Amino acid sequence: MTMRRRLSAALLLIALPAIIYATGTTEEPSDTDPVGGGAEGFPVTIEHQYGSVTVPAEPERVVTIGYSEQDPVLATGIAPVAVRYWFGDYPHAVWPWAQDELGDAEPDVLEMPYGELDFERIAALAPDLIVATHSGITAEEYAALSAISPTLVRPEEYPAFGVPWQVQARLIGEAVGRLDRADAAIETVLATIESVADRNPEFDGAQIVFASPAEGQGQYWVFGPNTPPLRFLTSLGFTFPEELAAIVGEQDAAQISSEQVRLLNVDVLVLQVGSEDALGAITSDPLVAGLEIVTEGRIVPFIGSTDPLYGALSFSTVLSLPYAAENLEPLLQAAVDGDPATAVGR
Amino acid sequence: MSRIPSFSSGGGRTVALLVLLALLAGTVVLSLRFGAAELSFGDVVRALFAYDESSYEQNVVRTLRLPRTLLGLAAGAALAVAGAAMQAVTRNPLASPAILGVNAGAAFGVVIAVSAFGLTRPMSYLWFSFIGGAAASLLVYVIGSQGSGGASPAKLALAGVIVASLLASWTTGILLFDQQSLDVVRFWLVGSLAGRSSGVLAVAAPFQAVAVVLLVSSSSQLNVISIGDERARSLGMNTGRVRGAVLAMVVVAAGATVAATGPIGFVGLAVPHIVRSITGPDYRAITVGSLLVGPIVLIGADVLGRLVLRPTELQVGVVTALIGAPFLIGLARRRGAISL
Repeated sequence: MTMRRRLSAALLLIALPAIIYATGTTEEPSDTDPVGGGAEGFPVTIEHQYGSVTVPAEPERVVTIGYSEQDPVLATGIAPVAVRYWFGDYPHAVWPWAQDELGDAEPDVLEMPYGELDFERIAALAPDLIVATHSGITAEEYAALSAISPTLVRPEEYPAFGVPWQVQARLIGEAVGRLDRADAAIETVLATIESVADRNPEFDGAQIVFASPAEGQGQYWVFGPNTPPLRFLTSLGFTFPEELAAIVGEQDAAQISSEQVRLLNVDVLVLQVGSEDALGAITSDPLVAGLEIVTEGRIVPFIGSTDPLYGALSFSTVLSLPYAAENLEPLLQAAVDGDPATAVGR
Repeated sequence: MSRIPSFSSGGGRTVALLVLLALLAGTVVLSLRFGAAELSFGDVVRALFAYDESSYEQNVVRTLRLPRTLLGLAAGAALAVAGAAMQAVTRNPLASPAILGVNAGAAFGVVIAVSAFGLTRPMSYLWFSFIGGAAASLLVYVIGSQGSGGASPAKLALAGVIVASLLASWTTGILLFDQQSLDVVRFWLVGSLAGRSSGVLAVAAPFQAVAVVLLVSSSSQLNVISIGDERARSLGMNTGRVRGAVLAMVVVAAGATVAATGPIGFVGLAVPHIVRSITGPDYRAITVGSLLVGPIVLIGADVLGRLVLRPTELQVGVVTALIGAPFLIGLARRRGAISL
C-alpha cells in the first residue's frame, strides 16, 4: 500500500457523506432500460464502463466488492460467498432487510479500508463472478480483478456510486442469469412505494429535508434532491424545498452554517445524528428549540450509523427500499401531522 | 531591522496601543455582525443589551457569533503570545508552539479519547487533548535536554520535529484503520472557532489567561534570554530555569487553545513577526502587541471564512493555512524581517 493510496483513501473518507450518495444524474431509469436481452442462457455478455464482461456459466461463487451489492445478489436467490463490509454492525454484513433472503448462508465479510481492495484475499475466495457496481473501481483495479474472475462494474453512463437501484438489480440479475427474479423484486419495490404514497395523501407536496450535523464544525450537511435517499422520499410524495435546492445545486450534499438552521425548518426533517445526546443537544439549542420542527414534533431522527433506517436509505437497494418504506411510514406520518403529541418516537 | 522611530517613545506606544485596541474592537463588531445569516447592527445591539430569546436573529448573535468571537479572542491572544515567547527562548524565528509538539500531542490525545474510550463530544475529549499536548511537550523537553549544554534551541527544535512526526504517524495509523473515529475527529483536526460549545471556552480560558499574563509579565526576561544564553548568563540569569518556565507557560497557553479549537496554524508563527516588524526587537512591546494583533488576525480570518463561501463556512484553520503559506514565503524572502 503506497502513501498515495493511503492519502486517497483518507480523502475518500473525508468526502464520504458526499460519496455515499453520489448520483450525478437526474435520469430516472425506465422499465425498458436496455441493460440486456433478459436471456437465461449462458454465456452472458454485459457492456460496462471498461468494456464488457462475459460470464461463461451460471456463477456459483459470487463475491461482492462494491458497497451494497449483497442486496441485489441476494434478491436473485443467490447467496454470495463473500461480501464487502460498508458500515453497520450486522453478522455477515447483511442488514435486517435482507435476512430472509440470506437464510442460513454465511458469507465471508471482506473488511477492506474504504476505497481499497485486497486482491490476494479476493483471489483466495476463487470467485466465478465479482460484482462491483456500487463502487469507484479504477481501470487498473478492474484489470487486476478481471484476471481473477469475470468482473461486473458499472455502466458507462452512470458516475461512480451513481447506478440507480433498478439498473443495479437488473445488471446483477442478468449476470447471474436470473433477470426474471430481479424484475419481480423491482416490481415489489415500486408497488410498495406506490401503496405508501397512496395511503398517505398528506405526504403529497409536504417539504422534506435530510440533513446531518457536521460534528464540531457548527454546520449541517444537507443531502441533495438527486441522491438515492431523496429520490426515494420524493417518490413517496414529498418535495425538496427550492431554497435549499438553490444552495445544494448539482452537488450530492452541501453544508450550511448553523446560522441558517432555519432553512431546515420544513414539514419533515430527517436528521441523522451520532447519538441520542447529539440529538438532545440540537433540539435544546435555543436557536433550534423555537422552530416548528421541534415544537411541532416534525423531526424523524436516525440515531447512529447502525440505525437500520439510515442504513436502508444509504443502501437504497432493491431489498432495503421496501424495508425503508414500511418502517419509515409511521414515523413520517407522526412527523408530517405537525402535532407535538405525536412527536416521532424511536 | 525596520523600526518606526517614534515608537520607542512613550507617546508613540500609547498611540499604537489605542490604534490596535480600536482595530480589535472593530474586528469584534464585524464578527458579531457578518456571517451566513442576514441580520442588522440593530439585531447585534439588541442581542447584547436587550436580549429577546424568541428572536431568531438575536439567538444567532447570542448563541453562535458571540461564543465564537470570545473563543477567537482567547485563542488568538494565547497563540500569538505563546508564539512570541517561543521565538524568544528558542531564538528561532520559525518557532511556534507547534515545534514543541503541542499540536501533534493534542491530536494524538483526541484520537486516543475517541478511538480507545469512545468519546464523541469535544467537551469530553478536551482533557485528553490538553494532556496529550502537555505530555508531548514534556517529552520534547526531556529529549532536548539530554547531553551537554542542556536544552539548547537547536536540540529542542530537533526533538520537537521527531516527536511530532512520531505522534502524527501514530495518529494517522489509528485513523486509517478506525473509520468511525476518523468520522468523529476529522473536523477537530482542522481548527475551528465554530461548533465548539461554550463549555469548551469556560474550561480553556482560565488556563489561557494565567499563561498569557505570566508570559507578558516576563517579557523583560524574554529580552535578556533572546540575546543568547552566554550573555544572558553573564547578566546573572539562570537560563535553563527561565527557559523551562517560559516553555511550560507556552504549553499551557497553546495546549488549552488547541484543546478548545483544534490545531490552528499561522497565528502563533506570523503574528509575532508582524508585530516585531513594527515595534522592533523589544519583547515588552512584542508580547503586548501580539496579545492584541493575535485576536485581530484570528477573528478576521474567521469572518473571512464565513463570507467567502456563503452560505457554507470555511473553517478558520483552513483560512489561516491559506493566508499563512504566501505570508511565510514573503517572510523568507525578506531576510531582515526574520532576524530577531
